[in-house]
Amino acid sequence: MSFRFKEAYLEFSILMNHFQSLALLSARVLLAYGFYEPALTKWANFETTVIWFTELGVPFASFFTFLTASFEIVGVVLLVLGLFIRYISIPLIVILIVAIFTVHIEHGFSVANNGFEIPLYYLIFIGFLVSRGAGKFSLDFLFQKKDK
Amino acid sequence: MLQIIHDLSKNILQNFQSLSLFLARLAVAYGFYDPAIKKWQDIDGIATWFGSMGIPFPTLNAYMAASTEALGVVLLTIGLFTRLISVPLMVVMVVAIMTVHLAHGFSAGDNGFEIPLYYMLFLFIFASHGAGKFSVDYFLFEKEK
Repeated sequence: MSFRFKEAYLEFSILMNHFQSLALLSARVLLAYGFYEPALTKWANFETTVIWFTELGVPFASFFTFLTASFEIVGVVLLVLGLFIRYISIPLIVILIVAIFTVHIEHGFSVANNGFEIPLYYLIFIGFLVSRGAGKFSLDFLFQKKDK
Repeated sequence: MLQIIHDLSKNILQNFQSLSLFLARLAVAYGFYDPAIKKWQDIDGIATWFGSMGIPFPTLNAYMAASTEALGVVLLTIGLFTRLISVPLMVVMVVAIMTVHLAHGFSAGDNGFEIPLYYMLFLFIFASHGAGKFSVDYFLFEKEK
């Protein structure tokens, strides 16, 4: 590869690096939107969700329904604010993995059959956030200790 | 104490940066694989379809979209020129959203723009963050820095 192409590609990389925080913000907002509806549905139909969880074979169904619905609604708020991103991501990852294995996996991959396509994408987005943090457009960044 | 826990968890979790980029690249490459194959199997049908949606130069654009997608599958998988190929793939996604999916709303169940939007975000992440360490790009462009 020619030296000039390499130089051009590196220059392009430096240009695109400026969009990192915007990409992280977009991922956070998209995930928050994705968790918003399931969270609201769980709170609005709490009893139905408990019955559904019991049918799925989840032990202590009402406790775990409460836990899941709480983490989801807290997750929506924290994802938008960009606060404690690394910590809230862990329970959300667990929720997604459980959702994939209890609900989606028997339907295959495709989203058309309610497969695990969308939860898998969410999992990758959260994996991305958990390893990078929330980016500069976040409360995490504002509260971060300066000396580092 | 809290600061120590915070720094420790941060240091551990940072190790997964390249892994998440690698998984995302494989997922998007897999997502583009089917549309790319379908376009090449029936390129004339695709050109007619493009024409019926009001896309100008339908034959040329059918070949362009099919080539970009096929090239995207290969380059994203091996992680070569990742930032560069992400840009035309994002254009393909924007056109797909505008011409096909927007009319069906957001939800993926109704063939809405949910999935192409996720792909666009993945591609935007690749363009801004690069391909990570598990890639050809890393050996070509990042290693000696």
